[in-house]
Amino acid sequence: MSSLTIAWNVIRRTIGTRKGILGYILLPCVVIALVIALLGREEMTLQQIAYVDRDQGMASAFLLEELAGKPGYALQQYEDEAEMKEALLSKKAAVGFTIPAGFTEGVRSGGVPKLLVYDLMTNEATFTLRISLEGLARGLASSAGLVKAAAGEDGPSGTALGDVLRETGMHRVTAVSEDLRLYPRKGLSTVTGFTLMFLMSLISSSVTQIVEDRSKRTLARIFSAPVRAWEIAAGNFLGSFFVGIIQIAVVLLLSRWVLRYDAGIPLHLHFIVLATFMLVAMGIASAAAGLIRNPQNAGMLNNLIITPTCMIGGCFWPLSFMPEYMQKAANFVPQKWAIQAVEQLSSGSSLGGIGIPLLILALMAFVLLIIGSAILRPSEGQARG
Amino acid sequence: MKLWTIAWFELRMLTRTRAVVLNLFLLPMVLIFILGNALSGNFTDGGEAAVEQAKVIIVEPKTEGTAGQRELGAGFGLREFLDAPEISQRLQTESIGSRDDAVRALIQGNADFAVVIPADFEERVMAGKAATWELIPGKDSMKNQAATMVFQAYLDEVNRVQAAIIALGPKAAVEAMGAMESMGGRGAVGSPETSYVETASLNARGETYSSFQYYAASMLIMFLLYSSLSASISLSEEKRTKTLYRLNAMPVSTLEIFLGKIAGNSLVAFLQAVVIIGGTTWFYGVDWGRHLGLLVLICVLVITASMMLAIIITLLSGSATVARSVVVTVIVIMTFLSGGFQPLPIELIQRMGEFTVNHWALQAILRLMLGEGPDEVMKYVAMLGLCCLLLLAAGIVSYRKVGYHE
Repeated sequence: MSSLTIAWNVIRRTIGTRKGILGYILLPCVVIALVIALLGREEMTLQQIAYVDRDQGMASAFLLEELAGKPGYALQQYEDEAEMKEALLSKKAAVGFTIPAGFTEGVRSGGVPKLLVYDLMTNEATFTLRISLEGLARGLASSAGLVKAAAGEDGPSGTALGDVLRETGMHRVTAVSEDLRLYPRKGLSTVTGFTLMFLMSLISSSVTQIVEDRSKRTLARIFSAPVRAWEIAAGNFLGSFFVGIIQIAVVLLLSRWVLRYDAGIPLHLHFIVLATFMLVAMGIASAAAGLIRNPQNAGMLNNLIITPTCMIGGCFWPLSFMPEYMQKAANFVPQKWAIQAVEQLSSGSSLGGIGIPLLILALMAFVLLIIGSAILRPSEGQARG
Repeated sequence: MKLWTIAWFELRMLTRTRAVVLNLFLLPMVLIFILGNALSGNFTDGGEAAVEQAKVIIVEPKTEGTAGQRELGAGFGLREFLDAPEISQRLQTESIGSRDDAVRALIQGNADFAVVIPADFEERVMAGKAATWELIPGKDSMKNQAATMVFQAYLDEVNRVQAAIIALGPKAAVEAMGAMESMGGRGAVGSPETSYVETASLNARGETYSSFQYYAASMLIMFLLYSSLSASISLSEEKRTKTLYRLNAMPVSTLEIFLGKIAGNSLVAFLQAVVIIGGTTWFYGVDWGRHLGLLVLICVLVITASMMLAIIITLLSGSATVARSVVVTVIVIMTFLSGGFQPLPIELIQRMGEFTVNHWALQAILRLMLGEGPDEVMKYVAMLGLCCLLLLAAGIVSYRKVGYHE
């Protein structure tokens, strides 16, 4: 019973104030709504691609037409490289490329000059564009090779390649994607990632309050009341836990029923994964708080932990972008497992299917909470640290 | 003189606190390292190899006449294509008779991807008619993408060969393919070794440029702005611990205390800039451009803006905690709008980004890094200076209005 009283107090202090409601309930909702809105929007998935066509020939026209035909690309032509670089720098385009002069001639003769790709920062868009260009240029070269070989010693006639390219552009042989919607929804990992990040900062702030209690000696006073030590510990943890549960519930309900972002995950399972992750977050926050005694600095230390682990754990970009050793490092980060569990749920797994990530999360939570329970020692008040 | 005593004390306090030192000096280096390494990896090799091998089911119609003995009946070198080392490394293929079985395997997670080849595919391709494969993506997005890319490449190949047959006439085309194969070049697939695309540098001097530099610049600005957080904390802590009373009892003016605190925090921020720029140059090889003077000027301006932000927000907001969260929110929103986390190709956001300190500082530093002349860069520095002047005016006004006392 005493535990519940303490828990209730923690809840009231964290999200009972106007600032608490704003910072921990409203702000995450707004940001997650923004993320969903941005990722769901056409402009975000449509990649702006700048190009300079110095060739103006048949092959470059074919290349541009094929590229424009691919879904998700919006091409913008620029007169020269300087203008294109300016567009890239001011972020009007994500990536740009130049078709060198003599490209068509090079395709005909077999020595294809290289396409130059420019990017300000490497990301998914620049990566896929490079592969698409590579494929198109290779196709052109090999078509031209065929034409040349067919013409034999006579030398290639100018129109033959054009005919081949025109026929290629008809796309008679294609693939259709028969979507069973088995895979996780696009953008789900980022939406989950931001949710996890907010969850971590909320939990860290409620744990900071425990540390504050200690530095103000409130904890020592509670201990002098006729309350058992475990009841105090349970009360504080339950309080943080309920605060997190409230945030999860609000965010989930909002994204589901207000924003209509349906990831195809049963509500209760989604909830279980996030709640398990929250336990880990509590463990991390309290273990970190155990290292540092000044409540303000404890908050700062949490920054030091939250952002880098979110990055490594794949909250902001897919894990597969990263080099292999960093992907291995991601295994030690709880965010990775939470996102994996949510993605597996989204692609139709049941509770049994996400057993491994959940188990790992639970183990992490267990170990970290044991380390973190040291912060509840009332004896140490404010210290220099 | 008293001002410097307070500034010196502030600097010692900050650099002696473990969490602050970690936050100010270690965190930016760690973030730049993660961002630079995670995202600037050379994608053409390595990046993709990390994707696990995908299990692909190929559904082929039973060709009644030949008793289904012909494994992978579809011609045009599909078998050879799939057996090529760079493909078989990524895809493990299996043949199944019916589409329903394949779908069941996908749903149960026994396979990652399925391809359905229609019975008359080969026939239709040879006849120059339209022909389609059905690709069924499975549960794993990355594997889906990898497999789609592979099969799309194959179909593009078939499409091109078909086009050649139509345009050149079947006889000539087949002869040509034969000729190319005998020449040693793998006519159908093309040799994957030769690359047709080259990554070029945005740098005006033609030096290499990496996205490492972009993140180093955007993180430098963000962290310099974050030093306003410690300034804000320092200003309000003095009140919370009631030491401002004691300081007021000393023969030192409030303005001196105030300016001393700001000077101390600015010094720490400057130290932070030195560590970030120096560290990234030596450890990660980031090229910050040739005009060190301009870079220092930009840092000083950003630090000024950051301190003014701290002053305005701390003095105008009632409590210390409110001030802290407002400072953090403002910094994150400005960084977001200026594209520091991710470029946002939305007109409205880009317009809004132009009203942030981050935007002008980032553009100025990027142009320095890309080797543009001082005249070019000065335009952006001037805008940054204008922002600073406005903030400075607002800072002075809020100090005059509110003051720094209990």
